[in-house]
Amino acid sequence: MQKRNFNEALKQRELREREENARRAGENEMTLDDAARVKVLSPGMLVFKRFIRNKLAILGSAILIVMFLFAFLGPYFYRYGQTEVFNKYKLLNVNYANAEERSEHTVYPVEELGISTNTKNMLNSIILDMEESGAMQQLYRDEEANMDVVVQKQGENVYTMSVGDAKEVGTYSLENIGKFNTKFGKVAFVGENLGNAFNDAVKTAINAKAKQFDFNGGTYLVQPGANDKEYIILGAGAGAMQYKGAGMGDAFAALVGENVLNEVDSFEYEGGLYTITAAKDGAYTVAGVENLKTAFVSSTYVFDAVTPGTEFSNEFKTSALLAIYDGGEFTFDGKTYTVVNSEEEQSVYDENGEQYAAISTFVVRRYNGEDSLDLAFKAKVREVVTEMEAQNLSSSTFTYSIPQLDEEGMPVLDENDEAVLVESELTVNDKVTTFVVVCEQYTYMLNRFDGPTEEHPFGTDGDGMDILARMMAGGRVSLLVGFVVVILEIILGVIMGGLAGYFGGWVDNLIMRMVDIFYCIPSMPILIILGAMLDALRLEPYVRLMYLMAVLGFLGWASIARLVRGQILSLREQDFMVATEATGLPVGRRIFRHLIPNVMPQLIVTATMGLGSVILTESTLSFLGLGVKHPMATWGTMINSVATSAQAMTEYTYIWIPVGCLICLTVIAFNFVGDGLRDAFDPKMKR
Amino acid sequence: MGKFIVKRLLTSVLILICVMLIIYTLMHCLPTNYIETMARQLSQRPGNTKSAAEWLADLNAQYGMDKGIIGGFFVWLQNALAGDFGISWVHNIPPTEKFMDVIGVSFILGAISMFFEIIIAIPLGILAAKKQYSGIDYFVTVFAMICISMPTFFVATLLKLVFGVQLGWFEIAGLTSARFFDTLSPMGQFWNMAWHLVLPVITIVIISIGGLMRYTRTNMLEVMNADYIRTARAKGLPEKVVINKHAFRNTLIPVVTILGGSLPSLFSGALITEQLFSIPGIGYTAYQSMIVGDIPFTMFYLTFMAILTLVGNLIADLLYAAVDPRVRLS
Repeated sequence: MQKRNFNEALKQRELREREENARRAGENEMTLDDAARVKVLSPGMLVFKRFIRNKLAILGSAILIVMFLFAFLGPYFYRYGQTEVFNKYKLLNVNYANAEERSEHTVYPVEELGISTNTKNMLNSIILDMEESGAMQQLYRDEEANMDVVVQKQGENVYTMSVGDAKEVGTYSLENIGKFNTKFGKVAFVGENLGNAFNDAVKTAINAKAKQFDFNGGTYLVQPGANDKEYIILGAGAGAMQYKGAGMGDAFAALVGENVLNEVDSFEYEGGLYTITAAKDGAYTVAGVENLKTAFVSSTYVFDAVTPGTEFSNEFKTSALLAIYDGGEFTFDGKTYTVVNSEEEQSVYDENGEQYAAISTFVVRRYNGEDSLDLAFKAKVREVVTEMEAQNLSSSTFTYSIPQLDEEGMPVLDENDEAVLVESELTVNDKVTTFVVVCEQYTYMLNRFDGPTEEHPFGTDGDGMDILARMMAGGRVSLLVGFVVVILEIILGVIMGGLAGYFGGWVDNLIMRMVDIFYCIPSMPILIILGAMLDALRLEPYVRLMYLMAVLGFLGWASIARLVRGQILSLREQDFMVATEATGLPVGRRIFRHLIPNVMPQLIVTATMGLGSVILTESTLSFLGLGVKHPMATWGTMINSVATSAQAMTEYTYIWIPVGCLICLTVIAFNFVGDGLRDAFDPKMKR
Repeated sequence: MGKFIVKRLLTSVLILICVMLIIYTLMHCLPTNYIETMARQLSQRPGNTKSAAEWLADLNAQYGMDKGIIGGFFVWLQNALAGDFGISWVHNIPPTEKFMDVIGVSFILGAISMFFEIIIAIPLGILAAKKQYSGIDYFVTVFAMICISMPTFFVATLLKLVFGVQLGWFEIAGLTSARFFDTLSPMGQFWNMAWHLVLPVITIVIISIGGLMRYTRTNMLEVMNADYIRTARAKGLPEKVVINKHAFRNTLIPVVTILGGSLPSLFSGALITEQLFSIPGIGYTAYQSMIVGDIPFTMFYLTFMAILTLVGNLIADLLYAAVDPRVRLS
C-alpha cells in the first residue's frame, strides 16, 4: 500500500494552485494600487469635495467670482471711466441780462497833471456836493500836491477836474487892532487904545471860542496867534484891497471882504475863480485861477455800441464826453465824430453820418457783464423798466426775439451765418438796485445727481460721474485694499508666530507680549486719528491709500501670529518634526517647509474671513471721510458723499443703497467661503 | 490663584505702559505743522488771549514735545498717574470731567444693547445647534453671517431711512428732542430719551448679535458631541433634560467667559454708532476730539480703552477658572 503523504499532497496542490494563480495573474496582474483596493483621494481633493457640498460656500464663491469680474473686468466692457465727468443740457431759467440806472460816476483820466490820488478819490463826493448845491464849479485845495484844483460841471452828468495857474490879483488887509494874551488878560493895542470895555468883550469872545464879535457897532475878528495863549484881534470894518495890477473895482473888494469875514477861501466873480489865502497879521492874498487844464473827466454816461462787440477806448470816451457840451464834434484816431445831444437821443455819429454809439445812463448788459446786446433790445428793456417804475411793479414780462441757442449753448446760425432769432418770453425783476432780465435757455451744466437712466444705469453722483463706473472702480480699490492688507498681516503674523512657536523660551515670551500689546491697542480710534492726521497733511489720494493699507496691516498681524504660534506649538511635538530634526534640516526649512504648510488650512480660513473685515473697516473709514479720498472711488466714499445728511439720504437712495448692498454682498461672500473652507478643512466640526 | 492674579496684573500694567508709549509716540509724531495749525486755531478762538506762538510753546511744553519722546512720555505718565490729563482742547475742561458727563449715556446704551443681544443670540444659537441641519439652523447661520457682514454705517443709514424718514417713527439724531425736551415732565424726558435710543440700540444689536450667535452655536455643537452627553442619552434621560441640564450648562462656560470679558466694553461706548446717531456718549465725544487732534482727550480716551481691554481679558481668564473647575490656573 502506497503510503500517502498528506503533507506532500497538500504541498503539491498548493503548488498547482499557485501555478494556476500565477497563470491567471499573468492575464490580470494585481498591484498595490489595484482597482480592487479602496479608492484613495488626495487630501486636497477631499477638502474640495467637502467644500462643494456646502451650498452656502458655493453661493459665496459665485458672488465673489461675479464681484471680481464686475470690479476687474467690468471697466473694460463699460463705456465710462471712473473720473469721467458728465454734463447735460437743460432748459433752465437763466439770468439773461442786467439793467440799471447808473448814478455812480466813472472817472476817466485825461492828462497827468500831478493831482494826488486822494484828491482824485474826492472827486465823486465833490460832485455830489455840487449836485446838491447846484454849483457849476468848485475849488478844492489839494494839500498833498499843494495846488488848487477846479471841479466844473460841463453839463448834465459830465464833470471835469482841472488844474489852473494861480495869478495874484492883489492883497486884502484888515486893520490890526492888537494882540491879546490870556496870560496877561489884556489887549496889547497896536494903535489907539479902545479901553477896558473892549478888553472885556475880547475876553468874553475868547472864552466863548467865538471867531468874531461886535463892539460898538464894528465887527472884529479873533484869530489864533503865535502860540496857544496869544490871539490876534482884527478890525473888519476898515478892510482895504490893494491890487497888484489893474484894479477890479469896489464890488470885487466888497466880495473879498465878505468872503474873508465868512472864512470862505474861494469864490467866483464874473465867471472867474479866485482864491483867498491868509498871509500875516490880517493880510490876505487874493489870486485868480487861469489857464484851466482838464485832468479827469467824470461821468455817469455809458457808451453802448451800435455794432455789438465794439470796444471803446478811454480816450474815445473822454473825447466824446467832453464834446457833448463843447460843440458836439471831436476827432479821434484821425476820424471826426459828431455827438448829438437832444431830448430824443444821445449818440455818437461817425464821419459817414451813421450812428456809432449811444450814450445813456441806463445800462443794459448781459448778466456776465458783456456788452453784446443790440440797441433795440436795450431800448425795449428801458421802456419796460420805465413802465414798471411808473406802475410800481416788481416784475413784468415781455416778449422779444433773442438768438436761439442750441443744446450746446451756442447760437444757432442760418445759412447766411446769421443768428436765428426766436420769440422768447423774458421777465424783468426788480432787485432794488438793479433789474434782472430772466428767460429760459438751454444751459450746459454738470449732470449732478441724475437718477437712473438708460445712459447711466445707476445715475450720476454729485460730481456728475457715472455711478456704475465708480462702483467698479470702488470695488477694485476695496478688494485690492483687502488683499494687500491681509497679505501684509499674514507675512508679519507668520514670521512672528513662527518664530515664537518654534523657538519658544524668551523669543516666545517677547513676541507674545508684543502680541498682547497690539491686541490692546484700540485700532479704530488709532485709524481715525491717523485719518485726521493724513487729512491735515493733504496727501495725494494714492499715497494716502498706501499709508492706510500699511497701517491696517500693521495693526492686524497679532491675531495671526497667535494662531500660527498655537498651531506650531502642538505640531512641534509630533513625530514628523522629530524626523526633520533627525535628518538635520536647517531651521528655516523646518519652519517654512514642514510647519507652516500644516498651519495653511487655518491661515487660509482666517485670511478669507479677514478679507471681509478689512473691507468693512476700510469702507467704514471711507464713509467717515477718513479713509480713501475723492476723486479715488471706494464704496465707503461713495456712500459718504450722499448719506451724510437726512435730505441727501432720502433723495439719493439710488446711489447709496446699491453701493451698500455691494459691500454687504462681498463681505458676506467672503465669510461664507471662509466658513465653508473651515468646515471642509476640519470635518470634525462640519455642520 | 492669588499669585496668578498678581502676576497677570503686573503683566497688564507693563503692557498698558507699552501701549501708552506706542500711542504717545504716534501722537508725538503727528506732523509739526499739525500742532502749529492747532495752535493757530486755538489762538483764533473767541475769548482767547494768547497768541499763536504762545500757544505753540504752551502746547509743546504741555505735551513734553520739547523733551523728546521718552522724556515727554514720562512727564505725561507722571501727570496721568496723578489724574491730570491736561485740558481738552475741544471741550475746554479736563478730560476726566467731560468723561464723567458722557459715560452714563454710553453705559446705558451699551447695557441695553447687551441685554437684547444676550436674550436674542443665546437662545437662537442653542436652538440652531439643537436642530442641526434643520431649516432654523440654516436660518440662524445665514442670519448671523449677514449681521457680521453688515457695515455699521449702512445698517444705521438704512434704519434712519426706513424708520426715521419714511415711517417717521423715530428721530434720526441726538439723544433728546431739542425743541420741546425742556417742557417735558421728568417721566416724559425719560421716554423721550428712550425713544431716541431705539435706533442706536437696534443698530448695535444687529451688528454684534451675529458673533455671539455663532459662538453659542459652535460651543453647543461641541458639547453635544461630547461623551457625557452620549452617556446621558445612554442612561435614558429625556432629551429635554439632556439639552437643558447637561448640554446647556456646559455651553454656558465659554459663553459666560466671553460675556464677562466684554463687560468692560460697556463703558467703551460705540464709537461709530454714537457718531452716526449723534448720541452724546463717550464714543461721540472721543470722535469729535480725535478728528480735530485734541491730544489731551484722545490720550485719555485711548488709555481708558486700553485699560478696558486689559480688564476684560483678566475677567475672562478669571471667570473661565471660576466657572469651569476643570481649569486650574497656575
